[in-house]
Formats: sequence, C-alpha cells, structure tokens
Amino acid sequence: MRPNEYAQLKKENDRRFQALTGPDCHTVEDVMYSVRKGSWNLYEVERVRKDMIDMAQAAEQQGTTLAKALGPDRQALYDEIAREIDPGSFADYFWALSTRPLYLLHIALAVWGGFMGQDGVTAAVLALCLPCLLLGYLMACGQRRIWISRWPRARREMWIGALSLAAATCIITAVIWIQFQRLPRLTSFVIAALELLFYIVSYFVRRARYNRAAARRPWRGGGEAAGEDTGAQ
Amino acid sequence: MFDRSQLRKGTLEGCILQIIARAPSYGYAIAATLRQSGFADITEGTLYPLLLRLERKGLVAASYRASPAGPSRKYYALTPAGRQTLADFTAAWRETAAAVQQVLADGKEE
Repeated sequence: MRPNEYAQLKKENDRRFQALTGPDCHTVEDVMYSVRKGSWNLYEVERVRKDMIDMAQAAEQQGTTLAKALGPDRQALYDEIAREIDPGSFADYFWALSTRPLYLLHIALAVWGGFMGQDGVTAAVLALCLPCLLLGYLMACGQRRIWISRWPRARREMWIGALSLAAATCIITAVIWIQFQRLPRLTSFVIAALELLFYIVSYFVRRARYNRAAARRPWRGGGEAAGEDTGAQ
Repeated sequence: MFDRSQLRKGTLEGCILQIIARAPSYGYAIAATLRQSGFADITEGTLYPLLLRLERKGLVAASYRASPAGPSRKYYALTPAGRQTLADFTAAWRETAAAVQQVLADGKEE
C-alpha cells in the first residue's frame, strides 16, 4: 500500500516547524490561521505550510526573518494566499468530519455511555452532535466568504452542501432516535462501533483522495539539486 | 494620484509566465528577475499568491527540487495551457500597448 502522503507531509512539516526560530513560528502560524479559512483540502493547506517553512528556513539562513521576506502588508498577503489556495470541495469537508474533536469526543461518550449503562444519554448526545456538525459546516461556510466573492462556483457548491448536510442531519437524527426506541440492541457500544467504522472508512477515503492529490501536485523534492544562486525559494 | 498597483496586477501574471517559459524557475529567482526588470518592490512573498493562482489554474506545474543551499526549492514550469495563455497575453499586451502609445502620442501633438 502506498504511504499516506498527507500524514507524512504533516509529520515532516511538524518536525521542521520545531526547528524554526520563535518569530518565524509566529509568522507561519499567522499565515496558516488565514489559509485554513480558505480551504477544506487539508493536503493543500499542508503544502502551503511546507512552502512557508521553506521560506522561513531560507530567510533564517540569510540572517533575516520570514516576516521580512513576506513584506510589510502581511495581513493583506495572508488573505490573498487564502483566496488563491485550492479551496477543496464539499467531499473534502465531509471526509474530514471524523478528524474533528467533536466526533472523537462523541465516540468516547458513546463508549462511556455503554459502560455506565446510559444508552439514553448516548442517543441524546448523538442527536445533539449532528446539528453541531451542521453548525460547524455553516461556520466553515462563513469563513469561506473571503474567497467566495472571487470564485462564484463555490457559492453554488456551498448551498448544495449545506442543504444535503441539513437533510442528512435531520434524517440520520430521526432514524437513530426512532431505532433507539424500537431496537434494544442499538446500544451505546453499537453506536460507538458504527462511528468507529465511519472513522476508519473516512480515514481510507481521505488517504486515497490526498494520495491522488499528491500524485498530481507532489510535495517531495525528487529532482536534481539546483545551484544557480543561493537564494531562497 | 495614479494607482500603479492596478496596472501591475493585470500584467504581472503574464511577466511571470514569460520568465518561467525561458526555463523552470523558483519564487526567489522569479522575484529577482522581476526586480531587475523594473518591478522594484516585488518580493518572494508578494509573488507567492500569484504563483498559487497560476498553479491552481493549471498554467504552471510545481515540483520540489533539492537545493545545495538549504531547504528544497519549489520550481515552476509552464504547462501547455500556460504556454497558450502566455501567447494570448503577449498578443493582447502588444495590441494594448500600441493603442495606449497611440493615444498618448496624440495627446502630445494637440
């Protein structure tokens, strides 16, 4: 099986980020704060992070900082980067749902509910969590306002995504609630198992999607060394 | 006062494509070439969103290469779509520049 390119890129970025000086770490974090609002594609976000770390390292080698390399009007630059990054798609958002802390928290709560014999609590929490995920989606839509004005196709996709997720939320919540009343076998442990299954499926789907993205837009330095001058990126 | 940034915005993408058309290049080197050509305040940072845009539009393809001087460099090469866009830009720029030149010359004669 091919390695998980996204995970490896993130691990590599985390390692190199630790080696940066304090001011450059702050600048990279500032850039990424804006960039994360501009894309749901975690691979593309991480690729921009790699570029920023490369720039920061090159700047440090020249005795300067990333902030200086980026110029004086940095907030405008960050917003521009957020607008220009590949925004990703609704599928990127959907398959990344299981990475959210709320999702993992719910699995933990379901397991806790099972051990404590509180299946009703689990059902109630699940019924609340799904609208929370919807709320998270709508908040993410709000963050995308920056680039929606620049990319009209996103507006259509956003509404399709919002409507389908709203419908899915209502249907799934209703089905779970009804089944919970009818089927004594649908215990907290079963819910936790189903959620874990979704977590595993979404992990492999994400992995396949990001590996395809990495094949199209690789992050590894595979070519020959270039030595025209000693400049940065 | 005349806002030069608006004029520059429309032309910088074409200039970047032209620089990359000569040979695949990286952000720092492209910025240096642009500065030498008269775009005095261009830095690698200001260029980065433009290069992202060109990559997203499929006009350039990026690849990372090892660098003897430090971290890997992101090299940009022109794609067939980029080559076509550059040809379109060059034709449109010549036409526009000639028209503007004509208008300015007419203004001087009056």
